[in-house]
Formats: sequence, C-alpha cells, structure tokens
Amino acid sequence: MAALLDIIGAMIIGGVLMLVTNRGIEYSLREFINHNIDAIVQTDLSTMTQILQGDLRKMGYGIPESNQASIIQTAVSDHLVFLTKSDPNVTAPDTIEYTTTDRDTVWIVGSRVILYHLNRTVRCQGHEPQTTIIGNVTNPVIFRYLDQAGRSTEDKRATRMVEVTLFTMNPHVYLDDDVIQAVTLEDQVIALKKLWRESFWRQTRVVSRNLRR
Amino acid sequence: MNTAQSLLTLGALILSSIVSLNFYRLNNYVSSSLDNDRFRVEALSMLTSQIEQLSQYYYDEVTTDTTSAKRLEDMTSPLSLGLEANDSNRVDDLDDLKGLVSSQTGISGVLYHISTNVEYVTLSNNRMIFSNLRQYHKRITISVCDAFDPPLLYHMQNDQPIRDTLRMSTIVSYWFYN
Repeated sequence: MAALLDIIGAMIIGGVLMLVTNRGIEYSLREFINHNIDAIVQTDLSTMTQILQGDLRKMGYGIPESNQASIIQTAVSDHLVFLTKSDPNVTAPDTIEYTTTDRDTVWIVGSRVILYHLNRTVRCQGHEPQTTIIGNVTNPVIFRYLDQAGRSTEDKRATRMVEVTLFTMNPHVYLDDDVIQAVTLEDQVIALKKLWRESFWRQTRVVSRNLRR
Repeated sequence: MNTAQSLLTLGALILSSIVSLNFYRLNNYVSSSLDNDRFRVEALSMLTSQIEQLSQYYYDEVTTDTTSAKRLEDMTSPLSLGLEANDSNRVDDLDDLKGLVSSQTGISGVLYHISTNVEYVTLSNNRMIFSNLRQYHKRITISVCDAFDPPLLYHMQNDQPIRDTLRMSTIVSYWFYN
C-alpha cells in the first residue's frame, strides 16, 4: 500500500513538474521571439533614422544661390524630393527622393496594421537611379513641413524645418494566452495591443543649414 | 515515503522554484531593458531636434545686424546670459536659451523635461573649456529626463532605479564674412 502511495505521489509531483516545465518552455519561447522582434524593430528604426538624418543634413549642399528655390522639389507627407550634391566635380545636382509604398496589411483578431516600405531613391548624373528600401514603418504620414516660426506649411519656399515621424513595429508577434483565451473581441484587441510593441522617432530637422545662406 | 525521500522531493521542488524564479527575473529584466531603450531612443530624438533647432538662432542679439563684424565687447556679458527684459519671453538668440526649462510629450505619450544651459567656452590645450569672459564660442548643453515616477530612463544602483538624464552639447561660433 505504501509503495502504491509512493508511486501515486511521485506521479503527481512529476506531473506538476512536467506542466511547469512545459509552461516555462512555451513562455520562454514566446518571450524570446517577442523580445527579438522588439530588438530588431528598434535596431531597424535606428538604422532608418541614421540614413534619413545623413540625407537631410546634406539637403541643398552645393546648390547655387540662384537655384535655392528649387532645392525642395516635392514636399508632401509621404513624399519628399530634394537636391544635393555628393560629388563637387559634377555640375548637375543629385536628387534624393523618399516615398512610402504599401508593403503589407496584417489582420489579427479584427485589428489591422498596414506596413509601409520607406523607399530611398538616389539619382546621380550618369548613373541609373538606385532605389533601396531603408525600412518598414506603420505611419504613412512621415514628413511635416514647418516654416521659420515652427508652423506647418505647404509652401516649399517657406519650408525651413522638416519634422520626421517614424513608428515601427512588427505585427507578427507570438500570441499569448491573454489573446487566445479572451472572451470578447474587445478584450482580444486590448491583449493584442500589449504585444504590439511600437518604437517611435520624431525629430525636427532644420532643412537645411544650406537653405539658410 | 520516508523522511529522507520527502526531504529530497522538497529540495528538488525548491531548486525548481529557484530556477523558475531566476528565469522570470531574467525575462523581466530583458523586457524592462527593451522598454527602457525604446524611451531612450525617443528622448534621443528630442535631444537631436533641440540641438538642430537652436541652429536657427542668432549667436547674439547684437549679431542680427549683419552690416559689420561684432567685437567681443559687443556681445552679451556672461553674467547676463538668459532671457532679457526686451525679449518679452521670446527666444531670439542663443543665450536666451540659458536656464530654459520646458516639458514635452513624446509620441509614446511619455512626458519629458528638457532643460538648456548656455555658456561661453574657449579653446585651451585642444579642449573647449568654460570661460567666464565673453568669447566667440558658446556651448549649449541640452538635458532630457522623463517625468515619471518610478523613472523610465534609469540605471540600477544598489537595487534602486536611479533616474538617468540624457545630455548633449554643441558649440556654436560667431563668424563674419567681409
């Protein structure tokens, strides 16, 4: 009888340990994936901002005084085109263009996230235009144009600052029990939004010192 | 089960609990670090914005007159750096930024305090050092910290979170083309 009780007791304890281990493994895998997603999103955001900052800093560089009005060619919320000069020995200016294009729409439990590619195109004289995707964002409105007093403006000639806003996140997260076991759709969405970890960048940049001669 | 076996089982459960506890602690630490970094990135974007925006201000009120070069004695005295009576609380040159404190809400919804300091600096032994005399160079230092309690930007010291302040400096010089 005592041996039977020992076996039953050991099985119960072993079962509990198995359950704890299983739960631990599942939890660690979920956190490992979601933390990695978060870290990758933050690294991507940092890379994007470095490229953007580098380009905006060069805006108008080497452009003659007489052509100052043409430095900013296009200035809308998801499209910016401007002139700069990367090679002083070449007379024609280079054009740098930023655009956003739809990349993907992700639906999870009734919530929609649209991802946009942030594209950078460089046009240099004598070379084919080169387009690269510098990252993915979740906000289509990236650029806001401000005048000397910091007011929003649509006039390219009055633009003295550009405000760059970037939201990044990866919606392909590993769902947890809170999302799966939520009874109502609202609860599911609330639980899901806790897993969608956004990273943010909002910077105002003077456009550029080369415009302020 | 005899006493020895019971103790052994109890010991195994305690060990298992310690391993679980450490695992969850580590996980929590990684999660906090990532959150911390997210707000650090946002604070950094605010800092660089501030640094960038100050380049639109004149070096000194007197340099708004660009018809002739200004001498050191024309500049604001080191003791008078800061908003002047004739500024009507509106920043119009770099030294007005001295002592300026403002609060800004980031796009994450976190409130940040931003403070600015301005001082004259001079070159000495290849280093820019503080000067209590008028100079052709000003150093602007901008500090950002979050307004939350417990802090979001912090480092741990003796198991206590200590609020971190992100600080960035830039030097602006006065020059004049003849």
